[in-house]
Amino acid sequence: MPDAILEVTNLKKYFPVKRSFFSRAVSYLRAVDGVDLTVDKGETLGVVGESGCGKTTLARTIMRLVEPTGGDICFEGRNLLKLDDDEMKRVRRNMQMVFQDPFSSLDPRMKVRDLLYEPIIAQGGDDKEALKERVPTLLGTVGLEQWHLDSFPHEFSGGQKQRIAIARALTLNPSLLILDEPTSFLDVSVQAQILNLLQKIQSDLKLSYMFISHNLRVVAHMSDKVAIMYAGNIVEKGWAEDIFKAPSHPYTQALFSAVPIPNPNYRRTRITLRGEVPNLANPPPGCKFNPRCLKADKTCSQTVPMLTEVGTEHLVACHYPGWSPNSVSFKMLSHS
Amino acid sequence: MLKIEGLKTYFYTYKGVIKAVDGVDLEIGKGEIFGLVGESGCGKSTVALSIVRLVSWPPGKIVDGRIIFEGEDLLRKTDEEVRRIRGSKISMIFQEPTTSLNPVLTIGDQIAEAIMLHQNTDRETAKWRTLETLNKVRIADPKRVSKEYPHELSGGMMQRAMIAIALSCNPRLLIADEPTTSLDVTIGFEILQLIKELVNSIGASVMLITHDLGIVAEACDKVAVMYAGHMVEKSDVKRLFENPRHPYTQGLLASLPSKSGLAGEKKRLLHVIKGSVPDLINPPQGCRFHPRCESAKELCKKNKPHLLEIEQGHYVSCLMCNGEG
Amino acid sequence: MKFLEALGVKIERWMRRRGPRIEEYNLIVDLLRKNPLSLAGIVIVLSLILVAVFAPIIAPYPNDVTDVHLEKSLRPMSWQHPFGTDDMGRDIFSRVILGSRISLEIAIMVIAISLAVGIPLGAIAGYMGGWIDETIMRVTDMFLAFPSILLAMAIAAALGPSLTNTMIAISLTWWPWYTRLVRGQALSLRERTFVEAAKAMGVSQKRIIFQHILPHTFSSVIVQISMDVGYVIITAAGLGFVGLGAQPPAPEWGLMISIGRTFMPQWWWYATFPGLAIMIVVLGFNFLGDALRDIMDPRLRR
Repeated sequence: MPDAILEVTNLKKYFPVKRSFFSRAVSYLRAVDGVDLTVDKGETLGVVGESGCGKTTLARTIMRLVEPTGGDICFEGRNLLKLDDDEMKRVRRNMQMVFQDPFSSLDPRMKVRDLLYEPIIAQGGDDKEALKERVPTLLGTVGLEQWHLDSFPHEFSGGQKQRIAIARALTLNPSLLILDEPTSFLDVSVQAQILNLLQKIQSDLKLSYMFISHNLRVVAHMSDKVAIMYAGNIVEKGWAEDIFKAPSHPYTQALFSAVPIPNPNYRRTRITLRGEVPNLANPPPGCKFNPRCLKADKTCSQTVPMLTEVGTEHLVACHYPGWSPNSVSFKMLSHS
Repeated sequence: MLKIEGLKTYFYTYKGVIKAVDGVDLEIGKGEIFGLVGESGCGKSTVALSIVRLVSWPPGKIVDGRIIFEGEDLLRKTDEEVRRIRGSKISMIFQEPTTSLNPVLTIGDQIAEAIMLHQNTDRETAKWRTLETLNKVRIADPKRVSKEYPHELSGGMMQRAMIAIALSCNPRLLIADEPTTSLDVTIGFEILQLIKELVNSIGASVMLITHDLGIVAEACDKVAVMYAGHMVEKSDVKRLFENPRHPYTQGLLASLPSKSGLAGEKKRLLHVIKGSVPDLINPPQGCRFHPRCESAKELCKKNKPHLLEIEQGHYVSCLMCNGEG
Repeated sequence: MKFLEALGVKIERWMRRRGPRIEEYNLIVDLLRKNPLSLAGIVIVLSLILVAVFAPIIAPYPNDVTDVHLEKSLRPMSWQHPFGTDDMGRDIFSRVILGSRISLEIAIMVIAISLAVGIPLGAIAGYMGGWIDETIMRVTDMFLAFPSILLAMAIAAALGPSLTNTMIAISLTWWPWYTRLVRGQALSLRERTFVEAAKAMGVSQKRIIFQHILPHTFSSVIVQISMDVGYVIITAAGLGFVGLGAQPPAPEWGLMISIGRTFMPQWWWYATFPGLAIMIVVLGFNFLGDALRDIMDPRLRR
């Protein structure tokens, strides 16, 4: 049983919603509403969801860029919420993040060399010099050249900027990388380069990844395990192979059925969802998905479903999970 | 119905002349959904803007070519004539509905405005036609929504409103520039279905511009692939996916993750097209793709390829494929 | 052969990296051509600086700060005295030239002090938010509420009127503008992704403020400074006019207008030329500020 490098338990992040500056909180926007996640050593956990599901807030809360409202975050065996500022700073060496927009995640006034040195200088410590010496090699690892060290971010293309961001995340020798939509802003051909790069460094440097994206094809490609988020909750999680072959939660089924696949012979039954994503400050009672679900009944609008096991390590939060005559069947008639 | 011949649109900037569209030919038949595919900077949006003459000078100018719509060359018409066609016979929807809709008018007002303008009706008729249109684009509770402002609606609903406005005049051609890129997958899929249905019901054609080959496979009848201002391959959809001939198309398809489906083989290394998109001010000599092409030969650096038909309805612009080499 | 290749590659890379900067020079030249006022602004400002630096050499009668030639008093414009003479027989042309030093000195001092105080306060307030922000901004508001003339009068009453005291008075009312400007910038900058990335790396708050936030405020600050020089000069002249600034016989332009006023309209040149000097200088800085803003803007967009 591989051990977990990151274990998130019942994580909550609520944002108070006030009527005006002076009134007290009228209600809470429940961006992350009790999330349990595990990332195993050396593996990639894909977190999928559409806009507004809370996945970016989840990433920022795990990194403690915002403070969680409740729950626990256990990284490499230590509870992050019990650490003071100095200890947390040291922990940051091992847990780094790659952001979505390469155009704004690099300070445009800094040269590449300074960008890569910054985490080293920020951390302080005795191994500063040793780490600095590794920087040129790191550049090579991400496919850039030595003379790029003296250039500014605006001289690079989107894909190259993302490589710089990845190199920066690697300077401190982390063990976990949280990647928040790392290829969403990139062209398809560049995306392929970056995904290959990520896979290569994962196996070379024995990294663990938490890969967050709304792009299901990319997540399906990259992940060992996957978790699907909806309105602040995990509705389904487990081994990627199992879930993509046989999704159990109605939302997952609808989501998968809507992904455009570049194969004109690909056939599937489409599931159309009614309605809109719920208001996170005022979610529907019971299962948050019930107003849009074709299978929903009275139980669904009264009781919140818990994550229950429906297969090996395959958990679903639904009162009526699994296959039914109306559910999706995936038939692939030909490959490209 | 729409035929573009030799279109060239250049942008004159202080850095030099950007040859955004450099000789593009295409044809869209009646009732067809035509996909224009390419990565960022390939010129696909510029083609669309050139058709409706929304390319502003400075710095952009349509330098050459003919755009034949319903038998007449649009580029020879006056601005006023094109303005009348734009929005009535040819309408357009864009990627970002938030910027395309007027934030200080309600949705109902904006749709009614379009209806009054193109269908020549009075306010009363326009009002209930608005509700009818909102129904057609599957917006629940049209009465309430028509009184709301754009910022109160979700992305999907705004895009539906855009489609409502665009289709309110019964256009012959709808140009949709990345209509689903900023939307979620589930919503985007519904928008595509909606476009397909509505366009079928009024017998219009669509030029669907996208960078996503999945959308092309789902929604389009014919497709053209653009690279660096040129059209490199053109065919019907089935043939393009089954038998891609241009190395760029082949490279693009091979670099897609999960292209056989979500539960396919995973974690194999993707095929990568080496290099990066060329500078359009000084594009490579000869075939613009040759620096990145694995099958490039000496000839490709000197001679420009042309779009030639290699099999029925399938055109490729490549010296190696056409036998020009 | 290989050496040449390597050299060629090196030059190509150098060109590629300088490339964007060469384009920027093109952009600047383009802008100047399109907007001749910006060129005028640059010319005026440069001239002012040169004149101020070389004043004793340029002025035909450098000692006319203090010398008195009553026999020549109130002569109109002539070849020896292009701007005429004043009631003490001093050459107005030389005094205007020498006065440029005073004006520039005041402007530099005031702005330097304002920057030194205003920028760090603004950056800290904007980035930290919360009660630190509130406190700093309320103090800023207090100083903003003072009209500089009243403050100058108070200080003059307390310490006696002089150039130094004028500078102190104007500085005290000027720094809040920079605090406001920088705070606004900091507020939006702190939401940028590269700031979040820095936090995720464990960078200290102090370093984030000074390394990431401050440098990005420079472009708007520079635009503000270039406009402000003009306004400080006018304010100082205004104080001089009321008698609170430089004292006679200093050739400060405002003072000269004040005294010259009593000789209007018959000996009109006395007040007019210093007035013209003020006008041209302020206009020049205004045009320069506009030009700088245009140059900075497209850069920011990139």
